[in-house]
Amino acid sequence: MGRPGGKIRHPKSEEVMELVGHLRQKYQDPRGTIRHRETNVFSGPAHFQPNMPSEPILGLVNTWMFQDALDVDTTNVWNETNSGAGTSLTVQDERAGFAKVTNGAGNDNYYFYESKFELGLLLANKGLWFRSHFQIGDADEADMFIGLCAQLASGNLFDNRVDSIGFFMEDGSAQIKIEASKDGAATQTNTGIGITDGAEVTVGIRAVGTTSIEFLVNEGAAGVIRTNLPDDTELSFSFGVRNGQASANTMSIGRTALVQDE
Amino acid sequence: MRARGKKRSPVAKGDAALSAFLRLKTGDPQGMHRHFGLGPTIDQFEDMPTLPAIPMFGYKNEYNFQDALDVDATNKWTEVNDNAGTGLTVQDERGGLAKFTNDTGDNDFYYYVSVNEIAGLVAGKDLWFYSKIRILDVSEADWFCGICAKVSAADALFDARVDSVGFFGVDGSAIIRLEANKDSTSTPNTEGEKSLVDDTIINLAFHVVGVSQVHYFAGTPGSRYAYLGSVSDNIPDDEEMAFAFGCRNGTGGANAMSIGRTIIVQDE
Repeated sequence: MGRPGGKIRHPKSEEVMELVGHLRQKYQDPRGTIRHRETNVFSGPAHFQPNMPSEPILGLVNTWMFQDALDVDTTNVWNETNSGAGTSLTVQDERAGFAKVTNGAGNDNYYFYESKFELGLLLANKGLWFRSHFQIGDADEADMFIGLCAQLASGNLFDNRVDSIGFFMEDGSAQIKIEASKDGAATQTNTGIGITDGAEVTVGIRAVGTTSIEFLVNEGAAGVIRTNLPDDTELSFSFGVRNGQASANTMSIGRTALVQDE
Repeated sequence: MRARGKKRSPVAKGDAALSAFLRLKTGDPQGMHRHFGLGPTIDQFEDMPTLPAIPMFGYKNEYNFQDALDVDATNKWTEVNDNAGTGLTVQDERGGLAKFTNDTGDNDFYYYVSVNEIAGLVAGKDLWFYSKIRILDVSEADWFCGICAKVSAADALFDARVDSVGFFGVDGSAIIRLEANKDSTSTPNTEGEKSLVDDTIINLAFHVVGVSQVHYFAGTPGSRYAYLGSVSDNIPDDEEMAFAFGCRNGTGGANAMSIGRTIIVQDE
């Protein structure tokens, strides 16, 4: 359609319109997760479907789904370590797919899992994004970790992390703490955010090169760490829970994504 | 707009093809648009690269290399080799790469063909292919990466491709060559020459427009893709093809090839 008076659009406006049309996003989107609204007369299947941010083609993308038994394979996909025998990671009949682990009933019994390969690495001037979902059965009776961690040569995921970025909880408190750890020296902060027994929690990490890491809990800012960033070690996706008392605690884990700049 | 009757310059033609391929503007320094939430609060994904993105409504096949299931030579890959080196194995490496190492004899090789042929070229439907490879000694290798009607005979991926679209290299040269191949008649094209570098990851991609043209691209990770050239002849339009890659030694020394996340998108 022609413009009034034969005027042409300002080049800057042209570019902005192209970008907005291209990304199908609006400026007022507070969460950066604009939903797709088809504006033509045909209301198609994608109406209201979230489409941003989407999975990039040109980045490095690793995802862990929990939708069938191959996703919890402890021969090819996960290193499983436990103290006391409970029920190891098993996919559940649950919306979107979660896998659940139930510890043995003894105090300090645990299970933890490390992805077989270390796929995450902080690099200068490269971004890293991590997002995961979990649930803890009894939130204030648990030691817990979820995030990226160099595979352990010995010990357990709760006491012996050497290089890591992630979220952890300590027995006696339902509050989530955040951590960056390099060569065994850790910077840890209590977010003050408590979680509810059995409720789904979404956690996110955004690393800016090797200079800072922003942490998010349930989509909200939960803190920033700028010291002890593990900048020279590949890290595995790791998670686990340890009982805080003589009763079997549980942890469920959902779809997890790790995206890194090429 | 071009002046009446004037042809587009080759450079402009390349830029146009690249822009259409990546659906981006030339001002984007990283070769990919980033998502800007522009909200008042912290947005975890505000600078994550999001375009080009994987569409939900196209046909998307993705080959990732992040656990041992991804290199399963029974259910996922047909492995063909001459003498025993080390077959495809996932590495502890940023993002996930899998690597094979040939045995040490001249012309020893490994190649891999996805067990099923899931790519086909159809008039009016486009296909996009993205991959990343790394070859230890680039001038002492025959190699191929692309889509190819299934082969399983010794050396066939290097010497006897029948229907294929992809990139290849020949022993003695580091140049990336482009190919479309139908019924064993090929149109190799070295226009827009670009070379591999020893033991260095390179992104390779092509866009097939229906059954009429293939545009080829290559780029250093994190940088813009370069347009390498196009092929318009011998496009395999009546065969399904598998994702295939492999490397053959050009000398008496063990060469190695790594393969990264590979995506094939096809119009529905």
